[in-house]
Amino acid sequence: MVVTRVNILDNESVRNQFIRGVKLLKDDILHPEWPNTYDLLVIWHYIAMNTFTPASQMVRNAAHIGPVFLPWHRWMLILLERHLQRVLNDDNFGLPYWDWSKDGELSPSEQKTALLWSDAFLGGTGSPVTTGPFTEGSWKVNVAEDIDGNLIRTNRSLTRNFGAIIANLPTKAEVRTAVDRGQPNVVYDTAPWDINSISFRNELEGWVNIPPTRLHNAVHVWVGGDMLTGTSPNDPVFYLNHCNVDRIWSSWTKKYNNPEYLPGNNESSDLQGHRLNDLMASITEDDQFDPLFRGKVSPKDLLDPSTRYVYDTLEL
Amino acid sequence: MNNDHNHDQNHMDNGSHGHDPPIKKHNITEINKMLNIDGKYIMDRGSHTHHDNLVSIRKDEYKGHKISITTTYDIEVDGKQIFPPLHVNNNGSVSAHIVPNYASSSVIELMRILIDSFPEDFKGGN
Ligand SMILES: [Cu+2]
Repeated sequence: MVVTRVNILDNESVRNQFIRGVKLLKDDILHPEWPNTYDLLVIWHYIAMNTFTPASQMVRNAAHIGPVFLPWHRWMLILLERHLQRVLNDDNFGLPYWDWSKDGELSPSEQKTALLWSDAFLGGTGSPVTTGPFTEGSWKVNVAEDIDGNLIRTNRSLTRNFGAIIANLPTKAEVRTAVDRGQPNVVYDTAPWDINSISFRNELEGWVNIPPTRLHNAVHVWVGGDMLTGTSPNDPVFYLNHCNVDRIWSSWTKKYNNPEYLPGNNESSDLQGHRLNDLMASITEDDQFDPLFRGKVSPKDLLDPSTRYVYDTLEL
Repeated sequence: MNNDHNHDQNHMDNGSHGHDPPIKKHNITEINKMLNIDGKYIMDRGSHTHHDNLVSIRKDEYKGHKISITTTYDIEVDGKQIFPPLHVNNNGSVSAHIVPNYASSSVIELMRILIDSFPEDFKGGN
């Protein structure tokens, strides 16, 4: 079934389903010795982020700062969507996205009180967060990262710190610059395939012309708190951000008529995990966690997601 | 322990190059057990040491000349040495993979962000 992913501000029932669904996943245990399914997604993200590709350096990892950034997160979103459909008992459910560049057009103080942060949506800022559906008692952060990069058990509330490090979300103009990156030679990614690349992937991830941090990265940093570390999926807004990032990738793909994914498998094995036909970093082959791919999926398998979902609009 | 779920692993083994370093396999049951018993799951970082974290090497080539620039940091917070994994990017900005979405032209600013981001590591203060 092809589902439609919509703007969270436009659809009250999808918004409520998303909030109810992520809470249901916090109580969802696929196997007795496993953490709940929501936390498992957090752990998967952490593990991928701390798997360096190649292992001899500590910058490019199995899900970020390299070409696989976009397809890896697309996979994660597809699995989240599948699990939400299951616990909500609704095969029509499509993930909502947050078009943060629209909020980026507001003044810094208006950005902090935008509709998304109201009680009926995701609640507001704070350490801990004290408004909305993810406050103490209704949402627990069970795993986090420490400064040595280890995964630690915690038992605390969610934290956010809007606008503390950077005052502004990305703007529409910045998104357009990213999508126009490389014209007339549109290129998905290029050597050195990392934080220094001048490419669409690196622009959208947010590393081109830093500092200040930009686009996808800037959304993490603007929200702050739990959104700053390798366990950032602890905040459900992580998925709304990435769904919009995925939408921008889809928009770019359509605009330039399916540009080639790079690198191909003729490139160096230093890029293992990032090349077109490489398997991406999984956490398990278990078919209950991943009924779609059983942990075995390559970027090439996800370049055209139109048999699974579409966006209500690719307008940026 | 249920062996059905013991084959969890990171799949990075699709390359045709036999000399690739083996990628650490992860097992969810094991991770969950360590979190519950030790409160911590320690990632295997191969041969990286704490001190490696503070050394960053940039390499470049210009007009056929090979450039290598090594930057070493020595950082203390409240008199105690700490070892955040710092990396100097080609444009001179500094990032740390533990705050994976951030880069700054100032290591002081980066340290402030680390203190904010890792409350479990920086207790006390105000
Ligand atoms: Cu991520």
